[in-house]
Amino acid sequence: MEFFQKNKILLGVAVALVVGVLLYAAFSAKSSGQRKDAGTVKNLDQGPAQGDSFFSVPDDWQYQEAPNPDTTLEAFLKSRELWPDIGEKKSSEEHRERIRREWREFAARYPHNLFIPPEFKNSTQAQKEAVRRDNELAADQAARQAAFAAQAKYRQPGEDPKESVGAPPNAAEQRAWLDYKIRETRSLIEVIDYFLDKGEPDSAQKASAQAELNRLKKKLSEYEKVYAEIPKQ
Amino acid sequence: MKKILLSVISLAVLANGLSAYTVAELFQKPAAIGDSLSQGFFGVTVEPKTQAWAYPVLVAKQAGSNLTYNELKGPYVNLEDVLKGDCGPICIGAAILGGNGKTYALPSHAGITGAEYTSVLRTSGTCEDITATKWEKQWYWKNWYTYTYRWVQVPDCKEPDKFHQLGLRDAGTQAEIIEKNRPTFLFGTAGANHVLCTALHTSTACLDEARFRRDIAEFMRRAKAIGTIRGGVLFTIPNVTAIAYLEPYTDPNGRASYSGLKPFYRKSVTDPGQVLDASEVRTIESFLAMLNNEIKIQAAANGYAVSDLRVIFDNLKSNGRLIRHSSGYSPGVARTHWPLPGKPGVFGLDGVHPNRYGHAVMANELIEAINARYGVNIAQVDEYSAWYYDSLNRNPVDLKNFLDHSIMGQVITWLISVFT
Repeated sequence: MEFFQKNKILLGVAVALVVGVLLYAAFSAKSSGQRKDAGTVKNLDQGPAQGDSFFSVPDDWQYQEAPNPDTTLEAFLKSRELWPDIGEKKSSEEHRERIRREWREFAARYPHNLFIPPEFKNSTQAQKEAVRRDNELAADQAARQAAFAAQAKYRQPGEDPKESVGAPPNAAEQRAWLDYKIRETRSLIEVIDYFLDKGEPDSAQKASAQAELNRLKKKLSEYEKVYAEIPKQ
Repeated sequence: MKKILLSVISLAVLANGLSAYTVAELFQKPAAIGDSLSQGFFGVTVEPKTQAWAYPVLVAKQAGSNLTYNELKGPYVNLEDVLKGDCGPICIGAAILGGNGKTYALPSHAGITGAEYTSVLRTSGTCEDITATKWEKQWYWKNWYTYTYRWVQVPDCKEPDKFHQLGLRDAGTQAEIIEKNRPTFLFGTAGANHVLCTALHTSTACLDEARFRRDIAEFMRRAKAIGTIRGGVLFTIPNVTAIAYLEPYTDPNGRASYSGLKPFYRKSVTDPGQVLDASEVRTIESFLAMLNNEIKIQAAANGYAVSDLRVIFDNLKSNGRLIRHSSGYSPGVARTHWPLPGKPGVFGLDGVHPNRYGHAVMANELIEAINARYGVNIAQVDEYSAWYYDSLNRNPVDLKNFLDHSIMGQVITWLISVFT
């Protein structure tokens, strides 16, 4: 008992060291397990499983006849030094089915969201053409505003803005564009909300999402206000 | 006689810089500034995979060294993953927010998407413009009975875009990061966005020659003043009117201002603002010639290698680049478009930025220039391997089949706004 009393600090350090080593070992084992699970790389320890390839070419890739450049473990590891992602499992039919399920659920919850691919909206040809027109309109206006913003970016205090680039849009064009921006902003809010609800956001992502949602909601109310001011023709 | 000969040899060595340093000495501590090209922006996001394949990272690794950089997880979205069905709404939501993976207090690679020489000098991870100021009342005791104010100029720090926030964090501006690193080798090009804006905006309004000349010179002056840089590399900017984002268009009614180069996503042109006409293309080409000339002058003045990517890209556009395995097998010739079935390409899905294979090509051209300038022998990246492992080249997506998807409108407008 006297020994424990005298060496309290020493024992504390020893216990902390043992706990630290155990925790490190546990985390190392976990992360190495994750790496093995995530890869499609074959038998890096024992050598190639079949033929001389260390990399499984996905079935949906073209040029299946293309020879693998890395026929030795050394060559393959050298390639992975340059491109650490090679060999990481990117997709599988199971993963894509899970994504399709996500889209179906998302489309049911937010039917007007602009991120939804047409196959999950059962879009008609006319609807697809309207989307393409919207896309072109949005890009036109974005280019016009970006050109104006580029001029304004490094203006000195007191320098008035130059006139906007190109002819100003008429009321109908402006209405169509603002309608698009309102739908786009709502779509962004919805997709972030969905991520917060169904994803696994960490604390940094939660904080970033809140800031982004506040910014988007402010932008949305600005667009709605200007939209209401467009003269009726 | 012997003395004269020795002096001549010494002068020649000094003038050429040949064998002055070994590769290990040159790349003892590399550092990089830059833009979306150096950061590894890829249709339309930055993520660890794409950062690792960016040209300065590849060149540094081939030279037996490495660069450190803050890893990004967006923004915005990896369009290839979305269009191939590998990224759904949860993945899109997370990617739009963006975030960091591994971070460094002082990264050695400071390249940031959307940057140009002006923002290299002025934009940090916390302030959009560190030189911006505003006037504020400062209250003080003038004497023991007078509490009053005076006007003082104080920093006006506005939050920068997400790429700067996540890419630079608290390390300072790109220029400050290079100064703090005290590198031995510098990747110093951030010229593309001084002119790329014309292609994305289909307008020449963003061209500003005076600002470009002033800011590239200022950055180079500061880099030289560090005193540790043994070598560096710059490259000229390819013809931005020849990228896959733009395609030729002739107005059916023969109107000159409606004909020229239109963005790939447009079916037709209904306004002169939607096209770069012949006169605008000439203006851009003239600006580009000035810009590239200045880059060459700066490279020469600082003793850096310079890779003429303008010429190399033109050649790639005309003749393509053969992809070939050592066995003789070839999937064909890569061209200046995004990959299509049976047609390898160097671009990603925005028609602006290189894919994995495109970055390997770019890295090799820089390696060739560095080897020639410094008399070293850095090994080339195996371009066949880059193609072989490039998912977009091996499983191409024809973007034109997706132009009626509403996500395309958002992707294009976002892309345009980032490169303002």
